Amino acid sequence: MLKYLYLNNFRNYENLEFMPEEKFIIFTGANGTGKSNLLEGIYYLGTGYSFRQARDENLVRFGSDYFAISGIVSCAGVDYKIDALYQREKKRKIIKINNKRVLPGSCSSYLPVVIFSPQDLILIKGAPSVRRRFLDLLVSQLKPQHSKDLHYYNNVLLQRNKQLRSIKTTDADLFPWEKQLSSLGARIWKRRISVFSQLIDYSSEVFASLSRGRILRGEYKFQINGIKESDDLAKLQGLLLDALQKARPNDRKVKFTTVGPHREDFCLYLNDHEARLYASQGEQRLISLALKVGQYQLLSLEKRAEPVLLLDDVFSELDEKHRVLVLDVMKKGSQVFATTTASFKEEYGRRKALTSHITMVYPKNF
Amino acid sequence: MHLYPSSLAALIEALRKLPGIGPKTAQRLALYLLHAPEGEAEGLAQAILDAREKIFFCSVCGNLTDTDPCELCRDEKRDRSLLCVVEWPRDIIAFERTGEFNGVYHVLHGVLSPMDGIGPDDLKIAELLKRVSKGDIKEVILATNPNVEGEATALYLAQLLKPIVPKVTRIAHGLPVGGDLEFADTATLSRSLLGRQVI
Ligand SMILES: Nc1ncnc2c1ncn2[C@@H]1O[C@H](COP(=O)(O)OP(=O)(O)OP(=O)(O)O)[C@@H](O)[C@H]1O
Ligand SMILES: [Mg+2]
Ligand SMILES: [Zn+2]
Repeated sequence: MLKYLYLNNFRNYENLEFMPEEKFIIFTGANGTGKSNLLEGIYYLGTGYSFRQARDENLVRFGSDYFAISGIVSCAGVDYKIDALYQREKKRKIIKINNKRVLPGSCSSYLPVVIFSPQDLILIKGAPSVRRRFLDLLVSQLKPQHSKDLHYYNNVLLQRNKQLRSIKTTDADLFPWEKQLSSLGARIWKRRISVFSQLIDYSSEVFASLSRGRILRGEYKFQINGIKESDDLAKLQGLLLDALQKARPNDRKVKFTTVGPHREDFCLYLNDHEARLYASQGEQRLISLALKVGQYQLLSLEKRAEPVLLLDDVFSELDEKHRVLVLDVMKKGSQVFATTTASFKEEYGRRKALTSHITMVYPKNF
Repeated sequence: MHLYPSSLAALIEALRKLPGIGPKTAQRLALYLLHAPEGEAEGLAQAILDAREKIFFCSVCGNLTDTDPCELCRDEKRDRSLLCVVEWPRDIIAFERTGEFNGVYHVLHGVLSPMDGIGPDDLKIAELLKRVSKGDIKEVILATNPNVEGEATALYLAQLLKPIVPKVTRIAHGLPVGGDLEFADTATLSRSLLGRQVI
């Protein structure tokens, strides 16, 4: 749960301090007043990146050369201070928990955020990297070691790719990097597989209830043949090492690593047809909604930290059915931050100014 | 704008080049040295020159020394059949503090890192192989840092050493991933040495 937020030179905010007084807050205001930016700041604190496919440098307030976000979050009854700092000139990102520097991504289990936004459609339509990022975020929110393994995996990957670019590279030069990719990669696989199958179980149930019993299926797409979901770590490690070594001649040609978890994707099927290719716009929207609700439900099972729900503009985007579903989820008592341009009647709830253009509404009936 | 006289500016600039020293600290140090008690600045200058002149790398192990071979390599009581491979001379200090190790050392002077353009030829690997092929070494302990580059270096060396040494081991990862030997406390380091495993 978020107890305190401070945005400094983040997007349109020079200085904004904010202490949520209620569990459910709606930010209302006209277009372009900074409502989504605020959610983006909260999301960044919980993930280390923007939910709008923006780069860190885009988040720096015009005319400034850094941004800083600080927050106090409560997690299983204990308060933690999280700081994120980005310096544009040095292209440097520093994340701290309780003043100790941590790897980016480490915050995801302290402040597990789930965003519902008009951009969610990209989960279905977008590139594989979007889906990998979504799955890896969920895995990291559930299993803190995952973000560390990903970080080291990517470091090893950069080293192997660099090594591939040198013409005098021998197999012995590649081996130490491949060996590490395979042990880290096997752990990444193992967690992805188990979390993905749970996610799909929840999401298909949600989807069935939203669509009068239609069937959503999902499949994690391994690039490497012969992997079974039941394989143990040692087996997976062996398969990945083998695949990396077989890929050497090709990798040398293209000068990067062409196999491994960093290239994989998952596929969604609506009544057995691939959703990306065959589902309608409305169906795709429904599937992305089901995935997000699935994410939220999986996180809710976790006793450690309650998920924080960020609802960007969903009131205007979703029809009545979905609105009811989202409100239902909210009734479970999670912290919710929502944005909308709509205005509310006085009796809807207490209100308070956040900035000169944004008003907070605390709805009565939650 | 008021500028410092050129000799003072040169001192500040020289200090600023030192690792871990920013412009503010450099300024403070320079002004301190200017007004330091009689003899202190001269003492510092002399100490730098002395160390530069007298300290070099041991021709056997690569440690910092003022005699060749170094004190550790000359010590008759140490077990020469047990060889611990480390990244930097400062790692030797860290291992010596644990009091657990009675073998000899070999300093690589770095780790493999293609990103930084560092390959096997840039490290003291040829020297290591030459030393080991003389035949009286029974065990090589690979004690590079437990980070991505340290691990890669250990794996690389293991490939080369296994055919020519009876036993090749890697220190146990009681150390946090991404941790640095230099900063590891003595207890953690002792445990990592005792819990070493065949690689
Ligand atoms: N890096 C930045 N520095 C300063 N201002 C920025 C930066 N990035 C975006 N903005 C401004 O922030 C404003 C608010 O954006 P935001 O997306 O939060 O609006 P909103 O309140 O969510 O509007 P809508 O209701 O249309 O979604 C935009 O007008 C944009 O120009
Ligand atoms: Mg908006
Ligand atoms: Zn020596």
